[in-house]
Amino acid sequence: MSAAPDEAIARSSHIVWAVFRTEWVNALRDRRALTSILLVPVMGPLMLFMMVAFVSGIAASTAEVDLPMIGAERAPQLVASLAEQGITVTPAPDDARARVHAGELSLLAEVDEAFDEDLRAGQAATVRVYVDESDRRAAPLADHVERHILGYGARLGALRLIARGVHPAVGRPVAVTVIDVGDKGHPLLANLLGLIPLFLLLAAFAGGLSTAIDTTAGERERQSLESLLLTPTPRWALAVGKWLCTSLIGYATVALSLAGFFIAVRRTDSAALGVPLDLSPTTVLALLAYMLPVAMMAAALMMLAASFSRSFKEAQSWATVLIFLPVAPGVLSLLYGLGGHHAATALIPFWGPHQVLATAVTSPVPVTAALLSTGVNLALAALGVALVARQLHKESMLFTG
Amino acid sequence: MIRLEDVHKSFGGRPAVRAVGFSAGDGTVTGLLGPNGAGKTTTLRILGGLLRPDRGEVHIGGHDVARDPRAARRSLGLLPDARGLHPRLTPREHLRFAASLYGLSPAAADQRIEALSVQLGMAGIIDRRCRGFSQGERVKVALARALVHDPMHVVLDEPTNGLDVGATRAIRAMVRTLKEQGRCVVLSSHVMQEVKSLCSQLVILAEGEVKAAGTVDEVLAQAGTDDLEDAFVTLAGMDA
Repeated sequence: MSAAPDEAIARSSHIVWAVFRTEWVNALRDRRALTSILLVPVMGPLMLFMMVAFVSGIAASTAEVDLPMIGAERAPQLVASLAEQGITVTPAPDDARARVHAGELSLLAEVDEAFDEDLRAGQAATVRVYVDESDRRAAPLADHVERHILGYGARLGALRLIARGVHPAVGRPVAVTVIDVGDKGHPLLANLLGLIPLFLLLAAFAGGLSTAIDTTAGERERQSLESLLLTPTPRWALAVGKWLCTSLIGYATVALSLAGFFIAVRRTDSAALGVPLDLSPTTVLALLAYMLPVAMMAAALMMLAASFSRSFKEAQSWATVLIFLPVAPGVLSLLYGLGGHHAATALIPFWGPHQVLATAVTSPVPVTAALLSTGVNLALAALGVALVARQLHKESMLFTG
Repeated sequence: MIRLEDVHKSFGGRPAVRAVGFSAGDGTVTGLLGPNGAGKTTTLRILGGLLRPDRGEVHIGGHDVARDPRAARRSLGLLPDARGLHPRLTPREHLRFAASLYGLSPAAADQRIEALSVQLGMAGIIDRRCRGFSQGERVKVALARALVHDPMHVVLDEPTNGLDVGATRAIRAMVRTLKEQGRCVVLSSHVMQEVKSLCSQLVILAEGEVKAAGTVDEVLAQAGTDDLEDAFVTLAGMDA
């Protein structure tokens, strides 16, 4: 009494749709799932804004620096020279040194008592710069100040040599000239766009996490799986319906994140940063298309990991580990600036998505790499769903204790 | 008609049911009686095709559960021991979902849900989310879910376990209706009074084996007593 193939397919797709619809309603009522759908898309753009503010803060603060200085009266020419470079020397408070040590003052210069004497004697005159090198704001300011004090010293030295009839180049046997070929300005800015791949991948996984667990381990924990398995339905159709729902939740998180980044980038005054910070609508659409199979892969793999667990909590610990896999390449390249991609490396699971996204946000979309990586993502998704369906056939799925 | 023949099942080498065989006819309520751990739930799970027996056959309405599980399940409504519900869905959503998995049209499903809601007295909760439902409310929803496709064969695992008087009466009335409609009902229980008032056929299960089977009178005769509880204790070997 087997139905005609067409009828069987129609019935199966009907079941997939019924499962999808029910899980969808269920997921949208899940506060845990909703929180990640809404929170992850806000986090990425927010971080972008903060980094932009930080970087432009440094740019602005090195342009105009107030430098508290002890004994400024002993070196009036140095003070004048620094003022030409936009460094305004201010009188230091009485307990300045103590305050620097206490972290209340981030930067302090001190002209040595014997500065003028040493200078006249032709000996090295000392200026001490106090700074906490681990203070990310003050350290570059100290470098800036140090550079200009040394510059003042170098000019003085050159004048002395000329006065003695020696060409200043004699005292500088090696000259180093650094030519900046980068068009990305501050090194942190190069990483600004690197945030986008990182957060998109995070969105695909973190967005679907709660649903992936709820549709598998959660179903086991609340013992609703048994009545589902008693229905005359092919188990693969149940797995596919649940997977489509999880994929869509993850994908919605990706789409919202992308929209957030698009708005954030548009609102950033990139001219002030001196960097081309741009995300064209074409790039956004390409990223959106590329991310769909990524979300499908993420959903399948998280569901598979969760299907081995008997409770929500147990599944959560496993699936959370899984989130680090796609995020790891992003974090590594943020830290070490990994580059030099080949199309073939796009075939590496988890690495490929990061490579494609990282290239796409700064350069033209790498079509070959994207297609290769999409093939891998779809294959992983299919494998994951097939294994979830196989899990549903296991008798051990009925036992929760 | 439900028929089990020489069914064996072990978990990790430990036998859970051994050579279990009985049949349950249409228009009768067959009681499956046994102490805790006797193998009742395992037997019912095998009936529903959720567990594959190591040996033996199960037929539901002429369909071999192992060979054609979907046809067998279409004519079977099973209330499992685990009444698991989705806390964020309402009873109506549970029932619509189950109905669509059994291939019912939305119109047929709504009609059926209406009837079950009246029969089981669920009108007050039908559109409330299941989180925080009482045990009685949960069982009603789970029972309605098992009956949504109007199955010829109904298997209930301890349906009144932990219920108050009102819910118990609603469930028992439902069982009687199913019997009058000529359906084949199998009911596991360890409440003697319930078995006595509902079941015409008994199967006594203990230590994974069928210790006695037949009409209530036949089982009483086999134990040599006229009290069902005494008969149960004797036949299940609990008097040792």
